[in-house]
Amino acid sequence: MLVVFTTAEFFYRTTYENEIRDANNDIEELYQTVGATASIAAFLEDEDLAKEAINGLVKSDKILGASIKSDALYYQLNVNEAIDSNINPRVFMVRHPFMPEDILAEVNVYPNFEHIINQAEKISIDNSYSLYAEALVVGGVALLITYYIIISPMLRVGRSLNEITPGTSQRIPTPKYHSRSEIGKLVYDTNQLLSKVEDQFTQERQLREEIEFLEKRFRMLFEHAKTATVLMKENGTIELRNEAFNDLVRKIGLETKQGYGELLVELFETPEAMRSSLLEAFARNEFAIGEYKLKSSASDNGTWVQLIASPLVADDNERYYQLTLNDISNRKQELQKLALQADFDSLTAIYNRNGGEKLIAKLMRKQHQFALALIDLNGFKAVNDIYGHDAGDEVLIFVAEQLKEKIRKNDVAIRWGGDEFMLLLQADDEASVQKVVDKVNSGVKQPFYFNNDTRPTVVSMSVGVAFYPQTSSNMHALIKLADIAMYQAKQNKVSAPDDYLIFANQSRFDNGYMD
Amino acid sequence: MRFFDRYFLMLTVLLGLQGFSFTVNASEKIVVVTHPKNTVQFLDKKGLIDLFMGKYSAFPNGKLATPIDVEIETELKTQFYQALVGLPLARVNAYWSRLKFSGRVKPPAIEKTIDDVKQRLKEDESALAYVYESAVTDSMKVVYRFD
Repeated sequence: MLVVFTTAEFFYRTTYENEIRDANNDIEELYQTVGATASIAAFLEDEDLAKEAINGLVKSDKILGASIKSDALYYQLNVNEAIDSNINPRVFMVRHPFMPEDILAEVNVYPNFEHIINQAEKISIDNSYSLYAEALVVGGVALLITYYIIISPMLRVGRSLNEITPGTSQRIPTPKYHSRSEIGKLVYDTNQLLSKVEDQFTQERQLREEIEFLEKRFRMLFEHAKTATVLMKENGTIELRNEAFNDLVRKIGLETKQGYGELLVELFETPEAMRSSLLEAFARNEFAIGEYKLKSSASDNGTWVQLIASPLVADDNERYYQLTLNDISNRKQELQKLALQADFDSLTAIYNRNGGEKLIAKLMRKQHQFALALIDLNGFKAVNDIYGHDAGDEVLIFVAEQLKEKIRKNDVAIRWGGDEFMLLLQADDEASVQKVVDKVNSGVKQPFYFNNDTRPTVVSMSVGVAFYPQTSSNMHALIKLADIAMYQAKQNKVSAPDDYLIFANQSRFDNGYMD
Repeated sequence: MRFFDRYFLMLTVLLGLQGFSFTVNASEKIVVVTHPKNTVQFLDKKGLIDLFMGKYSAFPNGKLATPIDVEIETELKTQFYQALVGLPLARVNAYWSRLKFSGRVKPPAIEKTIDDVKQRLKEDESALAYVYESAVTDSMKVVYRFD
């Protein structure tokens, strides 16, 4: 439209000027038509002819006024009006009709500029309008054609593009008739691009699938690991944890939260010890490993973990700690149980020999004075033989019960052997020992009835006592001496059953007994 | 025989001269003549034009002038006007056609043949005619000669 506008303006100007020029030419032509007449008129000095010529000129719309002037005649029409309008006349020389070199008169023609201008304008404007109209039509048609040939297909392509999901095998259809055109080329190139994208997507997808697969596996590994694992920052913020860790935290009665202090100290019963040992290991550029007890809630009986901690530096130069807490409570418990088992008799629930020896050693280490009473059961073997081992076990249990019941708070009962028991009594004189043992004996002596047998079974004791440190300060010597005393008591079993307790003599093996 | 011969010779010469006037007219010069008694000695071309084209109907001395066109001798007429105004007869006729309406101008008088013209020249003192130079007689006065 701008082009049309400028073109129209240009044409207007040109047309205008052309019209003016044409008008001027017309005036010339008009003059030519009356020129001959004017010439003759001038030659013959004929006023009528002169009038005829001038009138002929002025008749035209293009001429406002005209005059002819010679030596002999003068005639004018509308000249005053023309002069008033400030119009300059065109001057034509009237020549002798038969002797052209002679100029006989002068004709002044005053063009009707107003009219001419109006005409010119009118024509120019008409031209312009035509131009505009034509431009409009051409423009319209061009637009239409462009629309159908270019814009519409482009819009269609654009729409197709919108509907296409990159990465799939979808492609843009080439608009009809455009397979060789620029649009077609564009579509082709875009489709190429889409193919590349699809390839890339496929690759990425594969990669992603691989990664996801791996990630799932790793996650599964991490999440389902039975060992609590934690990745944490130096300041104690936990970056990564698995379910096992949360379970552990809940087990000890704490809530799950963002952090438990530097190196998880809040979880442990001895935080400072744990922390310092860890930091020491790190300082030596080693990883830390140790067994620590976690803070316990009321409900649990102590959780132990094997803690493995190592520092690491990530890509961003940040320091992290990786901690694994392996719940070893069971093992610890088992160990404890084992320890217990090692020291306790499973049948009677009192110390076994092993435990007993440990106790004796402990007492001796502490230099704690005590009396050691070695007890042998009489008639036990018979029970076993007659009523079986189960019955025998019953007897043993019964005896142990009696021992436990009848001794004092700080005294210890030990199952020393198959049918041997030992008492460690806090007493330093024979009288008190006698008192306690008598009490036990009265309990033990109660009759049994097995299998509703009417015959009662009575088990009796033979006891040998030695004193620490008085009898000996050597464990083996002490026990040996008590044993000897007990053996002596056993001799009395039949002959003097009430004399079942014998005190050991000051040992001759003292200080000389080495074991 | 000698008498007849001389007469025959004169006749042939005269006829021949007549014949000449027919055949050699292309390069024959044209002159403008008047009645011998006419006081005009000579005219210029401009004056001729004025007279023959109707501007003036009197000689410069004021005496009446009667320009004469010859009707039959178209060749002579054509040549005359060609020499005078450089226009073909058609244009000259058109000129007179236009002016006939005005009434104020008079075309030249018309004599049929050259002999008529000669006759007129003898009788009419105002006559002004154009002839071939060869046709000039003593009863004519040449007032202009075309080159």
